[in-house]
Order: sequence, then C-alpha cells, then structure tokens
Amino acid sequence: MTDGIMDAIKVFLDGVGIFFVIYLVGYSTFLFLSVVVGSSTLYRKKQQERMKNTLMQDYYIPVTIVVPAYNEEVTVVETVKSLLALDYRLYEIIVVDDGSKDNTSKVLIDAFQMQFIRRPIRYQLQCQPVEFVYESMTQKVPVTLIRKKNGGKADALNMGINASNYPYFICMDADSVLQYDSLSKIVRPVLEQGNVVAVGGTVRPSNNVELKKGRVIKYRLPKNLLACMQVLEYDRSFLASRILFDKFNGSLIISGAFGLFRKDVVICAGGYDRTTMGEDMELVVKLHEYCVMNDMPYVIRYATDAICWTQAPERLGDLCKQRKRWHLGLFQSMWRHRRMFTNPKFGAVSLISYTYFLFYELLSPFIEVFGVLTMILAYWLKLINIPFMLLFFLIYALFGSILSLTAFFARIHTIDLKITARDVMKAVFLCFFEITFLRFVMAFVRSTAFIGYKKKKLQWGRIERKKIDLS
Amino acid sequence: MNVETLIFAYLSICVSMILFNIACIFVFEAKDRQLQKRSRKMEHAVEEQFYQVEKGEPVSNSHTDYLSWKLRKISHLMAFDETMERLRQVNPDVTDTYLKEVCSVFIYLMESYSKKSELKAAYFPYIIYKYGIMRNNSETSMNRQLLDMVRSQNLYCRENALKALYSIGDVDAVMEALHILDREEVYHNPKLLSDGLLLFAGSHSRLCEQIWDKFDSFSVDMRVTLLNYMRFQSGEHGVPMLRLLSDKKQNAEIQYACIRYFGKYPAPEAYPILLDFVEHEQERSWEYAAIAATALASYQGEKTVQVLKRLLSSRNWYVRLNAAKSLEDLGLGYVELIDIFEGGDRYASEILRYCMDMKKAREKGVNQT
Repeated sequence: MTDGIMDAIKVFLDGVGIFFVIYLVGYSTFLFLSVVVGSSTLYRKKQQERMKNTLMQDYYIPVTIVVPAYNEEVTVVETVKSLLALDYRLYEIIVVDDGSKDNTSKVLIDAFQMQFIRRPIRYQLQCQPVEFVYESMTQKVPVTLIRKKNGGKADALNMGINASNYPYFICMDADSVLQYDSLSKIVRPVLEQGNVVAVGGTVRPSNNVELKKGRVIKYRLPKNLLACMQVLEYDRSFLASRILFDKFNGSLIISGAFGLFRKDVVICAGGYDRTTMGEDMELVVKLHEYCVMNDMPYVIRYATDAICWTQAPERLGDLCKQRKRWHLGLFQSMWRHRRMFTNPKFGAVSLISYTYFLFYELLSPFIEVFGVLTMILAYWLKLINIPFMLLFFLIYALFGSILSLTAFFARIHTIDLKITARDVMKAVFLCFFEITFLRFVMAFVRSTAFIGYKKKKLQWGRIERKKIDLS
Repeated sequence: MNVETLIFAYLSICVSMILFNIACIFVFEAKDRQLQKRSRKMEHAVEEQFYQVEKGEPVSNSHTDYLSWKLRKISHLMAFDETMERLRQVNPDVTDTYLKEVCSVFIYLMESYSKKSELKAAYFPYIIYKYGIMRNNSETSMNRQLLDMVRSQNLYCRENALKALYSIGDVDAVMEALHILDREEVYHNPKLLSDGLLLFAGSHSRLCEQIWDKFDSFSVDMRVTLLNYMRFQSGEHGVPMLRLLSDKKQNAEIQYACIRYFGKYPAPEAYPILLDFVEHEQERSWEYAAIAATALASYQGEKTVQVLKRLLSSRNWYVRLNAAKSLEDLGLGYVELIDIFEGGDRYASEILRYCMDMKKAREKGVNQT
C-alpha cells in the first residue's frame, strides 16, 4: 500500500476517532444527566408520598380505555378483567377488534355477556368501517366491543377514539396489564397542571412477575435471560431519558402500551397516523408540532408511578422483529416531522429531544456498525492500539452497566418492590452482558430494519403471546 | 480534561448513586422500623390521656408540653399520625375528644411548620384536615398561616392547606382562600376546588350566601367552579341561578353551569329559557342546545318531547345524542317515537335506536345482576 493511501487512511481514522470521542462523550453526558435526574426525581417522589404531598381524594376525570386487538383470543379476556379490577370509578373500556382471524370477538362476547347494539359511530378520525358493536352493562363499568375491518393498530385506535364517550382516552396493548392504581396515577398530572394534553405511563416487563387483580404479589426477574436483559433496558430507558425530557416538556415518545391523551387535541391534530409503524411516537411528535404551530400552550407529562406490565419477547427472533418495527417507526416519525429539526420555534424539543433522537437513537445503529467496521479496518492495517481500545471499551461497558444498575435499583427502592439476592446478582451480571453483547446485536438488527419494510406496512407486530395469569 | 477523566468522574458519581440507592433501601427500612417504635411509645403516652378523657378530665399539661416538644420534628408528627390512625379505629369518639383537647399544640406548632420546606410544611395541614383537629374551632393565627400556604406555588402545600381550611369550617377563611387563588392566578384545578369545597365542615348555606354576595368579584373561571360546587351541594340556589340564566349578556360558561343546575334541580321558571335555548339553536353556540337537551330530561311534558324530537335532526352530533338520551330518560317507548323511526331522517332514527338498544342492555344487565 502506498504511503499516500496510508496517510489518507490515517487522516480518516483520526477523523473517525475524534468523531467517536465527541459522540461518546455526548452520549455519556446525556445518560449520566438523565440517570442522575431520574434517580433524584424518583427519590423526591418517594419523599413526597411519605409526607402526603399527593392528591388523595377521589377526583375522577372520566377516561376511556381503548384496547386495540388483533388475534388476541388468548389474552384479551384476561386483559379486560384486569381493567375491570382497576381502582377507579369513572371509566369505560372499548376493545377494538381489528378484523381478527381468530375468535377475539367471540371470546369477549361470551365472557362478558355482551349485547348487540346498533351504535352509530361519529367518524371524526379516519378509520376502516365498523362491522358490529357489542356492549356489556353487567360489569363495573361499560365494556364495548367494536369489530371493524382490518386496518392496522393506528386505525383501530382511531376507531376507539371515535367511539369514546369521555374527554380523555388511554391507549394500551391487548397483552398488557395495568397496575390497580395506574389510572388514578396517570390522571394525576392532569389535575396538577393546566394544559396537559398527554401523559405517558411507565412500561415494565411482566415476565415472571406474579400479579393478582393488578397488584404485584411477587416480583422476580424473568428466568429467560433475554427478557431479563430487557427489564434492565426498560428501567434504564424509562428512568433515564423520559424523566429528563419531562423536565422541559420534551418527551417525544409515549409508549403505545400505556398513555393518556386529551381527545379533542388529538382529534384536531389528526389522530393516529395509519401509514406509520410507530404510531405512538408519531402522535406525540405531531402533538408537539400541532400545539406549537397553533400557539397553543401545552404540556406533555410522564407519570413515573403509573405502571403498565407488558410481556417482553423471550425469543431473539421476536425481539428482532419488535426492534425493527420500532426503528422504522422512529424513522417515519422523525422524517414526517423533520421541520422540527433545528427549528427555534420548537425550543428545547427541537434542540435537545429531536437532536438526541436523531443522533443517538435513529442514527446510532449505523454509527455503531460503522465504528465496528472502522475498528476492523484499523486492526487490519495495524493502526490500532489494542490494549487502549479494550480499556476504553471496558470503561464504556462499565459505565453503561453502572447506569443500568443505578436505574434498576432506583426503580426497585422507590416503588417498594422486594428482590432476592439472587436477582441482584443476576442484574449485576446481565447488565454487563446487555451492554457488551445485546446492544450490538440490536444495533445490527436496527440497522437492517429498512430491508423489505414496504411489505410490513400496516401489519400488526406479532410476538408470541402467553396467557396472562391474574388469578 | 481528557476523555477518560470525564468518564471516570461520571463513573464515580454513578457508583455513589448506586451506593445511595442501596443506602436508601436500608435507611427507609430503618426509618420505618423507627417510625413504628416511636409510634408505639407515643401510643403508650396517649392512651394514658385517653383514660383521663374518658373520665371527663382534661389532658394533662405535661402531656401537651410533651407533644409540643416532640411534634416539632416531622418524624414524630408521622409517628403521631400512625398512632392516631390506629387508635381512631379502636376508639373513634375518645380519639376525637382527645384531639380537640390538644388542639392548642397544633396552633402552637403551625408557625414552625410554615417555616419548613414546602415538602414538610404540606404535611402539617394534612394532619389538621385528616383528624379534623380544628373543626369548628377557628383560630386567627392558624388561619393566617394556612392562607399563606394557599399562596404557595407548590400544589400539595396549597391543596392540603385548603383542605385544612375546609375542615375548620370558617366561612370567612375559605372565602379569603378563594379570593387568594383567584387573585394570585395560580393554576388550581377547578375540580379540586369544587369537589374540595364539598368537604367544608361549617355551614354550607352560610358559605353559599357569602359566595353569592361576592359572586361578581370573582373571575369567570372561579365563578363557574363555584356554580359547580353549588350544583353538587344543594338545590337551594334556584333564584340567583335563574337570574344568571336569564341574563342575555352573561358569559356562556356561566350559563352552561346554570343549565346543568336546572337539569339537576328542575324549576318551572327555568323551563321556558331552556326551551328557548334549544328552539333557537342556530342563534347561539351549539353547547347551549346540547346541554339544554340533557337538562330537558327532567321536564316531562308534550312540549319537551316535541322539542327533543326536533333536536334529533340537529346538525350537531352532541345535540342529537343528548336529545335521544333525554327522550329515553323520559321513558318514551317505540310507539311514542314511531314518527322518528319511520321518518326520513336516518341520523335521527340511528341515534334514537342506539339509545333504545342501550336501555335494553342496561335493563338486561340489571336483571342479570
């Protein structure tokens, strides 16, 4: 190889080195800040509860729970039963069967003695037409089943919003379980502050967690290692970025598994986008855009103590599918609302949140894969200091692991969960493995998300479902 | 500063945070144990005074001195809360009498708590409210401190202070609190206020009298909140409500609140006004007709049915829906509504059929349960 080419490669590698130092310092700083802010917020919240700095009376805000379902015959009845056990009075449940091929509607009609109702739907948001409506008035709160033509999750959610009777609605997944107090906790920010248009809840993996009527009876880390690593990952991401973004009204994501929205604003903004795979993120970004462009004062909050338990995929294939979907959704949302990028009108949402999601979420798998390829090139050309590289990687892994553990312990102690010494050891071991291995596998998977994405448009993301045992 | 140093600095802070979290787990557990220990000790001291109270004798001075000294610290106040909670379940009457006897301790402590951080300060009015310690025993200095807390930017401090004021039952103090909230323009959810006012321990009729006296001095938002409170409180406000309802220049939100009132408490004088709102639907915003359509469910009569049937053809969804619900509430059956079902307006018949189906489902639900 000529000296000229070697020099050019050296310059290139130096440039890459400088870029990665800046990139990693930026990421570390962000993670550090978010975990510190997150932990102290949870600690303060715990103190507030001890000193009765909470709203303790039954201030009920009427809420519609929309449960979009597609081929959920295994879980949907238990999900509705868990919703009926919620410690809240003024709410209704609307299950939207998005043209399931299994017996989703039938199992619901049988389980809750539902009656056929000729119900007109006011189509304020676009969605596929209704096929039939059943209602049950024999339960604690009204339960409605709407069967419609298949149109995807966003389409089903739009139908639920169209049919809802109350000013606020909650979207959730049919395979999730809301904790008994989650509804009163998620509406609390609406009572605390004016102009709240959306509130995000906290999603936690339910694998191996024993729940009875929405209450945690026994908390254990999942036996399945993949699910166990996702527990650490969820804790880190929910504790880290979401609490920090919440501090400056900069949340760009409310998980589709559990979020509360003000119906009128969502309708004005156009509802869920039926053409995107990440309808949950797209809606939140759209709400930011809608409110800012219309000079409407608004707040999007995050309720750390409103908990939804969901099933984390236990098979690598399912996890890869899920992450590809999320990544495509992220791309579609960010592309659709690209005018927010470096737009001063959006303030911190643009400067911090959008920029963070662009560089550290959307582009990160490509950057990480690029980094690995560069390392291989440098190693091949003997231009890399291997001991230093390993040390740096070890420091990075240690840092990431400690952040994960900080988030994990902060969650555990602030929501009064008891864990065993064995689970502590498991968490310590797996957080290192998650940072050094799973993260890179996921980076690779996410970087390949665009392959064949047109075929997956409007399909429901499927992972293997297990029957939820709430008895 | 090189990168490694920065990362190591972050690392060490995170390690400290893990240690902090682990320490927190132990500290909270230790605090809980200590709380129980303190509470048991306090229970022993309090129970001795319970014997006195049961015999009709006053609480000893040494005990009030003991409380004044101990309860300065929030940890002891929490222990006191635990103790009272337990004792109240066993012996509610004696607990109430005992707390009335020691109210001077709370008057004395109020000032020191109002100087603490808002987090701690909010706990004190919570205790006053929870046990009704100052019920019907209004005390100027305590009211003043609580009103200062109402000015706080901290929601919980404000809310707990308001609840303490409601529990005292002093009309003037509550009126002052309402004016403060209105003047300071601090956001306090209207639902918290209207529901909270229902907890007022004094005379509601006197409070409402005062509210009507000063009604015009409040902002529109506060007036609507107060009207909602009065609607939940009683049906004794027909005259002033009617005045507001018939005032054509009155704010729309205020009039909506009045319409809801007359839906809950029907009055013959309000009937023609409600009819006017629905008959001249096009002249006003649709909310008038929608809310009045619901209110008309309380006014039986041929005219009501006729008007509601006409509203079924309204261009507005909510007006149609509310009219259909009211027709169903009025107990009309298929025969009386045949003109709608057989008529040419598909929207009208659909919405009415839906309400009738729902009625059947409800009846079936009642039978099954």
